[in-house]
Amino acid sequence: MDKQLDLLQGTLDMLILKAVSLGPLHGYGILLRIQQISKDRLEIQQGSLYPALYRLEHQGWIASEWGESENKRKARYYTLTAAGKRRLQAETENWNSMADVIAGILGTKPEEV
Amino acid sequence: MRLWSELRSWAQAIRHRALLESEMDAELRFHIEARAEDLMRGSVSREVAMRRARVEFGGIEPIKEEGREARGLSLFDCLHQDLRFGLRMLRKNPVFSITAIASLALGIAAVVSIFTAADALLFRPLPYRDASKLVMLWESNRVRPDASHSVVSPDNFLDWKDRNSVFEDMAVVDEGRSVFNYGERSEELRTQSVSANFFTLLGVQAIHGRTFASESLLDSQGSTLLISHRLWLDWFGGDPNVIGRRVLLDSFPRTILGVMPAGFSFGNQEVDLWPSMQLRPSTPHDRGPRNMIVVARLKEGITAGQAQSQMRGIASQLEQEDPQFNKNWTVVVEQIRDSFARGVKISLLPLLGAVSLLLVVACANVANLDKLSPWYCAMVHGSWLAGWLLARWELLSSRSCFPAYFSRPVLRIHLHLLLLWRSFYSWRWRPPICRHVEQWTSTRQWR
Repeated sequence: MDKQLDLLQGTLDMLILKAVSLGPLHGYGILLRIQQISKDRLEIQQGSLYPALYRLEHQGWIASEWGESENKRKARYYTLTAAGKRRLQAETENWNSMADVIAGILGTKPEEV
Repeated sequence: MRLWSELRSWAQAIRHRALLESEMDAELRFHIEARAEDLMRGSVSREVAMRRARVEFGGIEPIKEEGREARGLSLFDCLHQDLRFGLRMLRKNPVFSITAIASLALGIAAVVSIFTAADALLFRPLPYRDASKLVMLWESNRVRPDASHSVVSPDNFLDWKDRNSVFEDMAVVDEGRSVFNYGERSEELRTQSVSANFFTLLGVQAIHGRTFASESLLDSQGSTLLISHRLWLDWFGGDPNVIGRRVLLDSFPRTILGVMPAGFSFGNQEVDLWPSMQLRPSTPHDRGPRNMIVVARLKEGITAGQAQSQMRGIASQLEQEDPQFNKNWTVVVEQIRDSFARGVKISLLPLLGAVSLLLVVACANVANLDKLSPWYCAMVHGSWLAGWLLARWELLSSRSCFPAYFSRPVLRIHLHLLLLWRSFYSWRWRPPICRHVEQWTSTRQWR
């Protein structure tokens, strides 16, 4: 049970970094964008978004700035930092190689053992 | 890199606390309103949309709490709360508080005092010129194990000085106590009577006045005296005109020649006076008692081992020349640091280790991080016992004639205090801070 939660937390971080890498966004915008690029297959729990954002900002992967939203209201926009970009790359590679390994294991036929 | 940005973010969070809170508020409210607006596009009224948005979002307060925690603020808050709680608990249980404070105080006092002694004797660099070239010479009796590092007879010393070719210079020190008298004030102080070349050999200067500055053993000026910095401040108030004053030492008049720098000592930090010594001329058949401490400086390129061999040769010559006095006596040449430490090293270092561990355990107990495994406790007990045993063995067997700074009665008292303190060892008291520390460490992502 704990393991699963960890994975989700790490994955959410990756998705947020990816969403922000495509352009500066405020919190709600990040939520919408993830939904959009996942073609509505992934829905992020609203309660876990902001803690993840604050954590990522605390660790220095993203930076925040107050700006104006489309409706001329004050909103906080997040952008990816240089360190964050490197982190995203590393995490993506990690994820891909992990997926390969798991796929390999799961696809093992009885004869190959 | 990450740690640096975390620290920076944490510092900022502490400083702009209120701003942070209001910003989080604004941000979360914006989110809810944006969601509500999206819902309103589906032709829902504003109130319904807002309500639904709020419900979808969940509680704002827990999010803010997590936000604070993410920035490391919650630990800070907990610390603050725990301090207040702790103080309240201390007031409520005065008996416990007093005992806990007393045990910590004892532990700290023990560590500090033992460390001071160890520092002065073992760790700090010696305040002499080229201390690595300084050695001390001891007479050593082959058949008596308790006289392996004995003080030296003055006549043997003079013979050594005459006959050797390995030492640049040799000087003598005679430790003792004398009554120091100036004006109305009179006190018994520790002294080291030294030959006139002592300070030149060590390569130290006085900060006021001068040292004997004589190449020979005899002081041409007659009865002069050097005083310690501590004594200078205490008795003369740091008056630079103290040079040339006449004082009485054991009722004999002496002139103050100079003041030694603060922190200067020679193996014994209690010494305040260095009167000049007159080595009496030797009379045959009376080589005098063995009572001198000898220090020497090796010549360039000579090692202590080489010096030892030559001195052994000289000692056996003396043995043949005066068998009544010198039978079975030989010489030991020892590095000065080893001489200083010999009396105390064997008891100080383990004691220091044991006492430090005990202090750690005391702190851990009071803070009650008590997931101490049994073997760890056994290790602490073991090291304490070892330290205590070594100290007792040292007390029983040592015949060091060069007095240690850490005097015997004090050591015994310390040990008994430690025993007492040790019995207050186990306690159960659990401030909330430990829980929070555990939580915090478990929620961090260790990647």
